[in-house]
Amino acid sequence: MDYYLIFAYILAYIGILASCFYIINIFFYYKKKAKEEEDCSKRVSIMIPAFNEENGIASTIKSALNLDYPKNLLEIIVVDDGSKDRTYEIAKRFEKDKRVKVYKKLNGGKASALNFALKKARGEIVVSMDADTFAKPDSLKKMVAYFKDNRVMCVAPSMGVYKPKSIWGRILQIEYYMGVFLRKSFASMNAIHVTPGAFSAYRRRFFEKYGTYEVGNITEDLEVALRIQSHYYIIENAEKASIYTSSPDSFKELLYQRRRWYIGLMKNLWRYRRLFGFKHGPLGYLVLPVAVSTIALSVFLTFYMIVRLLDELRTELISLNSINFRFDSFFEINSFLFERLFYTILSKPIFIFAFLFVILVGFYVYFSKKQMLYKENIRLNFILFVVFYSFLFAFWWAVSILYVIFNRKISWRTRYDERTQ
Amino acid sequence: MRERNKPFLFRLAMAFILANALFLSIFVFAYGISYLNYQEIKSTNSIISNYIDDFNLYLDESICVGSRLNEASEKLDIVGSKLDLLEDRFGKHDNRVLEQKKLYSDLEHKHMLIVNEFNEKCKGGFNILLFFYSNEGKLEEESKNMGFILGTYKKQNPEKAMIYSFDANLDYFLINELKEKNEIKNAPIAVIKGNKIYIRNINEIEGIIG
Repeated sequence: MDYYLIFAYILAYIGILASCFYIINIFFYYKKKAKEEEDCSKRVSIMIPAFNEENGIASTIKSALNLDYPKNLLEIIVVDDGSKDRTYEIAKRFEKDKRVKVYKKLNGGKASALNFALKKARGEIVVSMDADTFAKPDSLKKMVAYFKDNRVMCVAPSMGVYKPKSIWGRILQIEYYMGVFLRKSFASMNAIHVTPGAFSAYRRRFFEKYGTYEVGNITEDLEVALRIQSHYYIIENAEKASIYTSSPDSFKELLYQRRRWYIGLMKNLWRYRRLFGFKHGPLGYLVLPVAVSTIALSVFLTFYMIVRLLDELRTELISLNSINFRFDSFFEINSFLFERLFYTILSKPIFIFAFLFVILVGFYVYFSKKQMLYKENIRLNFILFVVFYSFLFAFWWAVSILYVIFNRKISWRTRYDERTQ
Repeated sequence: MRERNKPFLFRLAMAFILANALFLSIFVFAYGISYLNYQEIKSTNSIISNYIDDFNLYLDESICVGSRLNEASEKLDIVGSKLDLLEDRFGKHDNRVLEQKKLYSDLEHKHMLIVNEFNEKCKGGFNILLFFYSNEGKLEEESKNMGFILGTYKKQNPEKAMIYSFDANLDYFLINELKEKNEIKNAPIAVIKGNKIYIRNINEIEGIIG
């Protein structure tokens, strides 16, 4: 047996074991879960840091104002982080609504803008909201309901990509749906280790006691999530709270975004490596080890597969050349071809595992769509995801790993991030 | 901490049992499909055997119908391809694979003798191409390439050529006899009109056969 097949089976086994565990946990969660709750009793401050966001800032503020939450208990703090465009002027117009406060400061990065907003915030609950994001009106009260438990320090919503147009956006939409399922499953065992920076709610007390956002950290939201976990608090997920964000339009923008995320994940996980082990429950003995091992194995296997496919393609071209290949005979299809395909695919377990994982992703997406009440047709996006995602994923990770190995610096101040900060 | 882990360890045990059951059942299912392939080969081999017996009768009665020979040849090609899959799945040393390979070689040999007889009695124009391949190490890839070229030639010239492939590494009296008769020392190699040739391009076959 080829070595790559052994690695592929190990990866498949880890994937199946983890998926079974996640699905079982979701099953027990919904078996025990009480009726859906909403809560509007706590004062909430929504913090919107913005840098060069003249195109999206107005709709983001409107979306925050449209939240179904008592007016006297909601404040919206917009911090313009030294924009060079009209972000500040546009935001300032909304100050006629008493809930909105707009500030301008010298540029210092997203964490510094959030820390600035934290100082101004009066809410017991603070929400970080990106300036390219919009929320369904009932999301906030659904998220706040989870803070009834005093140990809950953060509540993450369900994140989606709204009506994506580019091929990358379509692929990301399915990835986000997978995230919705996994986040709920992780929440059922308090194992959430990544919260969406685009819209997450925190108990302000946590920042007062354990420090604010870390300036200079390229994934400051991830760092806060790991910090919460390291202090044995709870991160919850309000799966019915639907938040939508925009996705990068070009491959380059997407690569910049992923590079920042993955390098941030590697660095922060290394820093919080004490979370691994039995002290932190399933997060430490299953979720994080599974994440690390599946990333490593899948990146290795994808690259191995690409090299092998290219080699086979070379051999195939040589073979075709040796028979004076004619295209007209290439598409001759007969029943034997199908029969051979049937035996080739179904007699090799690795193909069946691949098929099983496609079904699993389909199940995750179905679950998430149902939770978020999303009605758009996403069949094409699902096909694009199945065909391309593993290659993209491996590529992003490979680039990020090379950046870490060669100690290349990366910051928030890079193209797409500048826009989405 | 132990209390915090307790329900999850029980769930992990459940997941472990479920994952193992799923993992194993996929292997069993795949093995079942391979077994189905094996059964199919067995039944196709017996159909080919019947074709060959029928043809013997035709030749005895001096009825020259070449189409039946082509049908049997096509079926032989299909079995050959299925045997590849079976070998890939069960391994080249598996008894079932070896048993079917020997039977397949027998059928090919019988078919070859009949084609010879057909050429003589019915003035048929089939060229007989013998192909000795190897599935040992690097030679496997070379054999595949040569087999591909030969297969393509046959596909393009179904009325002109009959190709018979034999595993040069198979320990079987018939193959040993054929190797001795054609003085085969290395594989892969093809024998066309008495010429031993290592084929790299389809033009080389056309050069000999015309």
